[in-house]
This record gives sequence, C-alpha cells and structure tokens, in this order.
Amino acid sequence: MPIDVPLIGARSALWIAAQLHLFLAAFVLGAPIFIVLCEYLGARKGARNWRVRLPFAAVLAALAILALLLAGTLIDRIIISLAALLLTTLVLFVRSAGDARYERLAHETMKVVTIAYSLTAISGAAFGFMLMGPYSQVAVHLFQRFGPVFALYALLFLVETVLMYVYWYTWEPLARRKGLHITLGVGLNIVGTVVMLLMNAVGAYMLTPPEGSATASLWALVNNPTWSGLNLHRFIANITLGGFMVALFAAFMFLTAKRDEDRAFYDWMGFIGNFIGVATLMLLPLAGYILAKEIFLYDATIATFMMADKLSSFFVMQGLLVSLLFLGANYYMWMSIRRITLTESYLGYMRPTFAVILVGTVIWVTPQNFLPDLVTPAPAGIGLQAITIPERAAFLGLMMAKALAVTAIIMLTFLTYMVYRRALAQGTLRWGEIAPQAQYALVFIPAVAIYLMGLMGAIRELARQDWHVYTVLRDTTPYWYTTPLAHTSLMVGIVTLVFFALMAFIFWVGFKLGRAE
Amino acid sequence: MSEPAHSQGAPGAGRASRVTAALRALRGGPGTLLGLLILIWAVLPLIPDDTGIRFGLGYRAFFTAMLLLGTLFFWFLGKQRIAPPRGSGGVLASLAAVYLVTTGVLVAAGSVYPQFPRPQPPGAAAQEAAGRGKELFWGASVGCFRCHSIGGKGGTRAPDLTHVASRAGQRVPGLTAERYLSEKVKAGATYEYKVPEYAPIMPPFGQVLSQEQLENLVAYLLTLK
Repeated sequence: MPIDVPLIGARSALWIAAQLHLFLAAFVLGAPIFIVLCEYLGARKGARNWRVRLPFAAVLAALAILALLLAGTLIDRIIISLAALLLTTLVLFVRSAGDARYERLAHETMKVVTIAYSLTAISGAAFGFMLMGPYSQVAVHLFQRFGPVFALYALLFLVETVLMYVYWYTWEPLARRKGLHITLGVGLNIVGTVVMLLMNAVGAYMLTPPEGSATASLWALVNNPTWSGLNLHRFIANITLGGFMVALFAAFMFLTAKRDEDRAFYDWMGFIGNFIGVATLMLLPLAGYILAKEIFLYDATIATFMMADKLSSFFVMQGLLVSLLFLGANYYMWMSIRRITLTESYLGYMRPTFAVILVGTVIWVTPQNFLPDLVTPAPAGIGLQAITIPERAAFLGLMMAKALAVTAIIMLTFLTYMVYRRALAQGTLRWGEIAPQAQYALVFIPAVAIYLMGLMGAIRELARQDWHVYTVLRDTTPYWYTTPLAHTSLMVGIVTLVFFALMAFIFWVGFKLGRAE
Repeated sequence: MSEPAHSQGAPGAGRASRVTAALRALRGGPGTLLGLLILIWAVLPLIPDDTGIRFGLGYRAFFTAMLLLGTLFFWFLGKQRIAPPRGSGGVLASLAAVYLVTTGVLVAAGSVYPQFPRPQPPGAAAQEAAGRGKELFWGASVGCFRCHSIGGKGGTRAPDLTHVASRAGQRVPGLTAERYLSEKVKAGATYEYKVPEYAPIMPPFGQVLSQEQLENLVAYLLTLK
C-alpha cells in the first residue's frame, strides 16, 4: 500500500468517503424523480394531450424494444420490460391534479437538493482522492479498463449540474410555461440516471467482471453480469431514500410549525414522502432477489460466502432492518388513520396486524445457527446444539420460510393502505391533527433506511472477499480481510450519523436560513 | 364503626382482592408477555431432544430479545398523544435523539451477534507466539534460563543466547535459523551439532514439550538478534 491514512486507516477513510458520497448521490438522484412528478401533479389541470403523450410513449416503446434486442439474459429482459411498462403507463395515464401543495412540495424539496448537490460533489472528490492515494493500484486498473466511461461520466456530470441549476433557477421565470420547465426536469432525471448507470457499471464490474475481462470489449465490461440488477436496485432505492428524506424534513417542519395551515401542509408532505418511500420499498425485496440471483448465477461460491458463511449474519441483520422499516411504515399509517374521523371500527385491526408483522419478523430473522461462519467453532462452554436450529424446525431457517414471511409483511402493509383508503371514504381527513409521535416514526424510518443502505453496500463490497476486482485484482493491502459484523455495524453507524449531521445542515440552510431570507 | 369490623374480617378477603388485582393487571399485554416468557423458559426446555423441536439456549435468548422488542413496540402503540418539545432547538434535539438511539441500538445489535475473528496482521501472530515462548524460557515449568543466559541474566552451564537468532542460521549448512533452533531444542544434546566448549547436557525437549510450545519457544529465540 503506497500511502496509509493515520489513526483510522485507509480502508475506514475510503469506506466513510464512498458511503457518504453514495448516500448524498442517492438523494440528489432519487429526489428529482418525484420532484418532477410532483411538479406535474401540482400543475394546472388540463386536457389529456394525446398529441404529446402518444409519440412520447411510442419513443419509449421503441427504446425498450431496442434494449430488449441488446439484452443478454432473461433477467435483463424482465427488468427492461417492467421498467418500460411502468414508464409508458406513467406517460400515458398520469394526469395533473391541479393541487398546489404538490408544487410547494416539489419546490421546497428541490431547494435542499441544490444544496445537497454541492456536498455530493465534495464527498465524491474525497472518494476520488482516497482512490488515487492509498488505493492507486485500483484506480489505475479501473481507469485502464473504463477510460471512456469515466470521460463520459465527467461530461454528463457537467451537463447534469447545468441542467440542475437551470431547472432550479427557472422555477419562477417559467411558472407560466410549466411544460417547458417539466421537460427540463425530465432531462435532468434522464442525464442523472445515465450518470448513475455509468458508475454502477464500474461498481458491478468489481464484483462480477466478465470472463476474459483483460481482453473484453468496453461494452462487455459495462454490461457485466450484475449491471442490470444493480441498476434496478439502486434506481428504486434512490427514490425510496428521497421519499423518506422528504418525510424527515416534513416531520421537523410539522413539529415546529406555528400556524395550522403550515402544520396541515407538512403533515401532508410527510404523508406523501412516506408514501413514496414505502411504495418503492415494497418493490425492493424483489429487486434484491434479482440482483442476488445474478450474483449466484455468476459464481456460486460468492453465494455460499454471502448466505452460509461470513456474510450470513449480515443478512440476519438485513432482515431485522427491513422488518423495522415495515413496522415503522405501518405504525405511521395507523397514526394517519387515527386522524380521520369515524375510524374507530377500523382500529380493532391494528394490533392483530402488528402481531402478524412481528411474527413474520421473527421468522425472517431466525437463523439456521448462531455460528458466525463455516469455520469458527461454538464458544467455549456452549454446545453446538444450543446454537443450532432443531431438526424439525429447520424450515424456519430456509429461504422459503423467509420469502413467505416477507410476502406476508408486504401484503399486510398493502392492506393497511387499503384500510386507510376505506376509512377515507367514510370519514373526514383532518390534516395537521396527526399525533406528534407519528413524526418521530418519520425520523426512525430514515435512520433505519440509511443504516440498511450502508449495510447492504458493505455486503456487496465484502462479497468480493480478498479481491479488489473479483478474481482479477487481489487486495494485498493490510485491509484485505472481511470485517466482522460488529466492525461493519460500527462503520455503518458512524456514516449514518455523519450523513444525518450533513442533512441537518442542508435542511437548516435550505429551510430555516432560506425562509428567513 | 363499621370500618374496624370490615378490616377484622379482611385478611382472607384482602389476599383474594390482591390476587384478583394482580390477575387483572396481567390481562392483555403483561399477561401475554408473561405467558410467552413461561413458554420460552419453562416449557421449551422440557421438550425431549428426540422430538426435534427443542430450541437451545441461544434460540431461547434470541426469542426473548424479539419478544421484548415486540412488547416495547406494543407499549408504544398504546400511547395516545405525546407532547412534542417546544422550540426549534428542542424539536431538533428530540429528532436527533431518536436518530441517535435508533442508530446506537442497531450498532449494538450488530455487535452482540456472534462474530468471526478478524485475521491478525502477519507480524502479530509471531509476536504473540514469541511472548508465550518467553514465558516458557523464563518460567519455572521449562526453565531454560537455569542453564542459558540472555542479556547477562540466567545460567552459564549452556551457551549465552543473547544474539542466537543472528548466528543460528550458520550452525548447520543448509538449515535456516528457525529450522536449526527447532531441531536443536527437540533433540537437545543428541542433535548432530554440539556447541564447542560446553558439556552435552541439554535434554531432548521434543519429548517434553508440545509442538505448539516448541514453536512458541523458537519464535522467542528468533527475536534475539
């Protein structure tokens, strides 16, 4: 290792810089997707303009067909078909609601995105410096393989920056030309998504380089076996994070609001943010399975390392975290139901719902055994029997039971939303009258979501074992080893807290100082 | 006047009412919690092993942790409206506290789970072995110091080992310092090479020490450069 970092070591320094960059990037890429959607929903209600919608949908369909022809695997084709179906449906059928609150939500969120953008660039530079210094060997390897990709990335990053500032600073001047402003926003999102796809290619390559990577074409390196799975997973997760962060801002504003109308608005904003987060969260287990399937098809030894060896306890933790997210989301929804009049008859379903979710959680996180990997023996004085699941209950530790538990939790979350809609049809919604503790659920959920993102990122990196690039470039630094769960948890916890501090700063500048101005 | 009469006849009735009150308190959540704790800690251990459904201690502790987490959740669920703190600073502090506690609990959960050991850096294992070898050298059980000296301390009946690591590699052609020291300690005076000027009195420690002890002792001697 050419250079090390004093006190914390190069690996920890790189870990913090990279993870912070990813969190901030996820926010600045995810939030604009629904900002543009909200801006559209908030626009004046107009006629369904088929002359614009139909050609746009046709272009999308043509692009999807082209992508399907280029796709190499069945999984890729499924992902492309689903994405194309979703986008085409959005283009054809979503109509503006003419609700000014959506416009305000979009505007206020975009304000913090512009501030977060600078911090994303700063953390990206820190990440780059760490790669060029202590991990220069990796940087050189990646630049050699992905030179044109990095050049395109730099160019598109510039274009994205320009589009982002133009989109933000033309909000007022283009208030009467919403169509043009929304087109700018769509352009920003397209460029942002391509930037993400480019860097995902590099990240995915490090875990699953294609066969004969030394002589492989650039496209083969980019379109490596887990690129599409990672794209899908990150795209959805970015929107989830964006939604939860909006809900976090709304929670603070709700609790400090002095006027009833502000309280009502921020109550609504928190609900919408959480709704976006939860709606996309329900898709994430499926996206996760697709990515895992791609990894398993690539190399089954990685699968063993992840699910049965050193990373198995990480997945127990993952189950706990996702369950906590669903518990938090359902808790918030039931608090939301309570603010609707005439809902007493529905509240009786609340405790049984949570009882089933908790049972599902227990099943999800019950491990096959409490051994941390395949070689470490049971602690002294404790028999293997005490920490291994009994024979006839072994099904609880299998994927089938876990998948059923997750499905039950997702179904109940969906049912909770159905109850909410049913209650809404009978009673009157009183925005601003939600119990204050519900706002703390909107803080709990992002904390868990960010921690989960950090842990999953660590799993994907640690799955490479002692390789910088799996089977291509070996990690010969003093930090080559897989970190145990405790060490990983501590690192993820530190990054989660630093990210919160940064978001608090962004929020203070954007909402408080901006407001005073 | 009626109060004393009531209290005189009360011992039995008082006990009954206390029991009734306790049972009433156990209704709902507390009763369910107690029942499940009894199931986990009193009923599950009674299940015979050959049924294949007897959960071990680790799982019972795990189920208990999940049960307490669930109880905490249901307790919070029963709360009506809590009053938020006043002022922006108070609200921000309370939100930060929730965030901090959540993150702290998650880090703690990751830390209490069984861990695989982190591999030691290459030098650390040798250092630890040398430390154990030093204890053997200077300890009463093996007591190499009774005959050998290091840095002016120890016996004089056998060679001074102060710089033994520097010269051990030159004793027998073709043998590294590590290999020579290992063979010499194992065979003692019966080894082919004998240091001149000293009587061949060294016992064959290969018959006394375990392989690990021998390795530790050699690791210590190799530090004496």
